Formats: sequence, C-alpha cells, structure tokens
Amino acid sequence: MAATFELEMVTPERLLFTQAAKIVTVPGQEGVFGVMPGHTRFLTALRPGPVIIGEGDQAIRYAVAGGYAEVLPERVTLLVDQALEQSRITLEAAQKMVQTAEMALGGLSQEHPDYARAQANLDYAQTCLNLVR
Amino acid sequence: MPNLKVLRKRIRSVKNTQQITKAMKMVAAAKLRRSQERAHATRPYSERMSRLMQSLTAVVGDGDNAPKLMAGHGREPKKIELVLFSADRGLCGSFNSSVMRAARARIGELEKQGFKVTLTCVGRKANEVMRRYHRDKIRKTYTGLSRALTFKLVEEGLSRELLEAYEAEKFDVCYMVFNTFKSAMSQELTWRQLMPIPIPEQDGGGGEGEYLYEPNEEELLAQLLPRNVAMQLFQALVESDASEHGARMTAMDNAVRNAAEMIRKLTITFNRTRQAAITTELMEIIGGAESLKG
Repeated sequence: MAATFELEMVTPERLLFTQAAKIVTVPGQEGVFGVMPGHTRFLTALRPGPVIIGEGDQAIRYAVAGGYAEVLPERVTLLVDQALEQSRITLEAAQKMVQTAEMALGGLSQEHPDYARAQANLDYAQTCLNLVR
Repeated sequence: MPNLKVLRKRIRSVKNTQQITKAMKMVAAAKLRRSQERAHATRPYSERMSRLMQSLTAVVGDGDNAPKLMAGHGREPKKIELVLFSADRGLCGSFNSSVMRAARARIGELEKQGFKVTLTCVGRKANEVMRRYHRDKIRKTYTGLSRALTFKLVEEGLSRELLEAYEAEKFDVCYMVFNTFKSAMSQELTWRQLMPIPIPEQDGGGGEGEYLYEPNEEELLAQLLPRNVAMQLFQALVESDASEHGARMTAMDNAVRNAAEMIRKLTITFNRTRQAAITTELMEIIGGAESLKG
C-alpha cells in the first residue's frame, strides 16, 4: 500500500492546496477522525475545528469552518466554507473574530433560525484563536 | 463650408472622449484579470461538489422521500422564477442587453404557456430594464454584489432569500440566466435550472463501491442541497462579473478605435477648410491688387 495519499482542500473561492500526506486529522460532525492511506470510502459533514496535516512538530494546522470531507483510499477531498492556515492568523485578528461572533450570537435566542449559523461562526473564530495561542 | 472654430472644438471633444474610453479600457483590463482568476478558482469546488452530489443521489435516489429541493413541490409547476444576472453599470457593449433580450423572450413564452413569472434582478441594469416592461413581476433586486463578492455573502443573502421563497412555495421552478466567460472577446449566454436541482446524470460506471456516511445519507444530502444552490449562484455571479469586464474592455477598445477614425476624418475636413479659406483670401487680395492696377 502507498505510504501517502493525496490531500486536497477546496473553498468555494479557490483550491487551497493539493499535496501528498501521510496522515490528516479532521473534525467530523460526529467526532474527530484521522485518515491514513487506504482508509475506507467515507463521506461526512465537518464542523468548525482544526485540520491537522502530519504529526508532531512538523504538522501543518488549518482552522476550517465546516464543510464536507470525501475520503477515498488514495485521496481525501476537504470541501470547506472557509479556512485559515495557522501561520496566517494573528492573535488580534482572531480575538476580533471571536468578539464579533459573540456579539452576533449574543442577541439570538436558541430557537432563532440564525442561531446555528452564528454558533458555527463562533466555533470557527474560537478555533482560530486556539491555534494562535 | 464648416466653420473652422467649430471643427477645432469638435476635434478636441472627440479627443477627450478617446482619452476617457482609453482609461476605461485599461481599468476593465485590470479588473478582468482579477475576476478571470476568480472565475477559474471557483471551478474546483463546484466540480467536487457535483461529484459528491452524484454519489449521494445514487444512494438516496429519487424515491418518495427525496427532498423537495430535488423532487419539486410535487405538483404541476405553475409559478416560475427567473434570476437575471446583469451588471450594475453600462458601457459594456451587448453584455446587459443580451441577457435582457433573452429574458424578455423567455418571459413572453412562459406567459403564453400560462405560467406565472416572477423575477429576481441581480445588478442595477436588470432592474432598470425590467422595471419598464415587467414592473409587477420583480420580486427582489440586488445591486453592488460584485463589489465585495464572497461565497458567504451570496449564501447568506441572495441564495438564502431564494431558498426561503422556494420553501414558502412562492415559485415551483427557478431558472437563472447569465453570461459565461469564454474569453475577453466572447461571452456565452447560459440558462440553467437552479431549483429544483436537476438530478445529476449517473455516469453508468457505478462500480465505485459504497461509502460510509456520517450523518446518514438523507441528512447529508439535505445539507448539501442548499449549499449547491448557493454555489451555483456564486459561480454565476463570478462568471458574469468576469464577462462584464471582458465585454467592457472590448467595447471600450472599439470606442477608442472609432474615436481615432473620427479624429482622422475631422482633421482632414479641418485642413481642407483651412486651405480653402486661405485660397479664398489670396484670391481676394490678388483680385484687389489687379483692380488697383486698373
């Protein structure tokens, strides 16, 4: 079996990258999961959280805001709404994101149709903040 | 014989126009490059998205429990929504008028067949034209979308409104018409059905094997469908934006050329007139001198 698989990450605006990877950790809607080459065919929704490519110190981390993942034995495609690489997030920007998201959420009751979306926004902002900390 | 002063003034004014069109052409060219890149950049996502949809619909199928967004409202369609993509500004050749012409022809056809038509206008120009002919049909108008075009903006604005209207059964079928970007010189008018989402063609191969789904297929599909609508709209906007700049660049290039031709012709007339005036003057002087000699 091949030692690596092809990993791509796409947002509606552009293709972020295509690269070979040995392992990737992804925030699935029903729990974080890791993928290595030869994974069974798998299709899942993602929730906001960190995507970690590789292991240990060399790992590259992205904050992603929900989307979908298609996992095939030799290829993983991540369709995400938004994504930011760890090194491109600044502390101030992340703090500001959290603040705006909290404000947006603050005025909504749980039944409000926008609640889930605002909550997801906040989760994404939190993920960004956690990555820079 | 035209007046010299008037001619000089006209030449100057055409030169000014030429300068302006030249500047507009350069601006359009710069913008075109950016939007063209963006148009290309959105394609990978939508390609992969339709692949996902294909594999999901193969599982869920078009049975009784197929979601409304795919199967329709379950009755004979009567109300049809058209989404028209135009520019906010003019001076871009036939860009806006080709969309408007196609839309008006389609509205006429649909009405003859007894459908009730409503419109969503994207871009100021669509609104301006349709207000004249089909004022009562305009449901919504969006302007300034291409200025800060992000997927999120489309998803939470335009797309969401359309989905809610569909859900509320304000219309049964929704089509959109926009210009697809081919090259700077050419755009292609495109009609596409937006809702209910056409069931993607199965490529027959089939033998790809089953997936594990999380959450289950129905739920995943239900999440994916509205997103697909948003993505389609986003792509139409991006394509339309790139086409607009292409069309404007071409139109302005023609304008610059026409202005140059006009300047050339006017200059010839100007020189001829001046020469004629000088000749007349000389004749008069000579005539005067001759008559003095007696």
